[in-house]
Amino acid sequence: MNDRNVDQLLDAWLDLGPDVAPDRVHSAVALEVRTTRQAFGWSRWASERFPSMNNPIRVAVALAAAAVIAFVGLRYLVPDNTGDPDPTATPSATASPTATPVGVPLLPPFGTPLDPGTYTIDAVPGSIVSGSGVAATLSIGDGWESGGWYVMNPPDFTKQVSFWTIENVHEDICDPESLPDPVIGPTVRDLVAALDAQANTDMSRAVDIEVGGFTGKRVIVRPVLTADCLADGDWKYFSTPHGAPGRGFGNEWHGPDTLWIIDVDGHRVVVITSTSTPDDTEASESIARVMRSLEFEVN
Amino acid sequence: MARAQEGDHDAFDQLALHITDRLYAVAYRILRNGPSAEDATQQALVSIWRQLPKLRDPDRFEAWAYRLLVNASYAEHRRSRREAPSGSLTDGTTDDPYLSVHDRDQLERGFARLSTEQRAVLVLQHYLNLSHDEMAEVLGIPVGTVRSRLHGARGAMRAALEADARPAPSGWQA
Repeated sequence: MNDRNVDQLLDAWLDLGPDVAPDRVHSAVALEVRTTRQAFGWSRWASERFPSMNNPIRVAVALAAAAVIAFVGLRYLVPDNTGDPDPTATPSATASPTATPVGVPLLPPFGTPLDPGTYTIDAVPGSIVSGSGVAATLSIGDGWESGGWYVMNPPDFTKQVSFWTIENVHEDICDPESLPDPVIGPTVRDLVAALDAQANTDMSRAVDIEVGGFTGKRVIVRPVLTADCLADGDWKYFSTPHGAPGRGFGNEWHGPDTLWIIDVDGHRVVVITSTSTPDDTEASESIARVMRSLEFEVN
Repeated sequence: MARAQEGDHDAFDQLALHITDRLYAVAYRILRNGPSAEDATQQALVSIWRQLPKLRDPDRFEAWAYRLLVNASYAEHRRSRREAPSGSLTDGTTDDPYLSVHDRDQLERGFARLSTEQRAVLVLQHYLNLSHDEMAEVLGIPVGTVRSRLHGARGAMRAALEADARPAPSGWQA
């Protein structure tokens, strides 16, 4: 039997079979889409990942809209004692692990361009860092913009530094139901072990680190490029205490995330850094400067 | 399309009406099982709804939809394999005057031995008549990988058909 024979048999055989879906498929889908929210569109995606920026006007509009929403949210949700943002504040001089961010402005709402200086990321109600019990202070140079609980550099989006409280880790990034129950343990070691065991990601060797006077581990996590779920962007690799899904890898660039997992007096804090291209030295050095500036305070 | 991207349920219903049958037919041919194909089609359509705002080029909708369907079929295959051992793959295929019952049985058994990735390339080529380039776009893999998978799948089918065609060793015949 040659390939031509096989092809002819396959042509004929695959023409057999149903060509019409049962009506229940139509009705089930119609019902399900009415109870399923659509993913956030381009603007949200652009802010959380690193897209190709080929539509700057649309992004600008989206950023402005998001900034208004975030401003209104903070205006009514944040306690008064957080004070108004003051991006021109003097960088903190202390490097002690128990440094206090008193007098350092809170990172302003999403979409606010940042002047060089020092900012605090604290438990903004409803935000992902809320519940960590730890405030972080960071110093930044030119070209950064606030994401509320992270910093980025639109319109290029070549670098990002974000702050997370990771509660649980999916056993398989392609299986949204694979969160362990009970959740993983609370230590740095527990999180490293869970990431190491995760299916459809590769994790680097864990390196000992010290950030802001606190010790921890740094790992690099990247998706396995042949994972089925990468094609449709439908993957998750950790969850937060609020049930919010953890960040995904870039939709078009399946690049690695660097996770700085730090034990701040018994509180596990995770800082995730990433660049849009692996060999972007300038972005890497800029991120390194931010990481060196970090200080933490337990609330 | 634009209205569906903006969250209009009725517009999406119309869009779904046009593609559901085609998606189901492809899922059925990959999975060879009606209920699994229904589940995969449903999952794919919900994924299409959820991710539609992210689709930047409406001209690529069909390839994108097939990609979500193939991925849903992979996931459904994994799930059904965990839940129950694979048995007979067919249900409800219609008669074809050009294929004997024996041919169909051989093809079913050969197809059952393929991976879902191999099944997908065969279905995309022989049922949807896609080119290698189009298959690469749907599957999100390089064209070379498409050719390699097709070569492996066709070889596996031929081997299965030839093995079934060989007379059984003496003493094995019922």
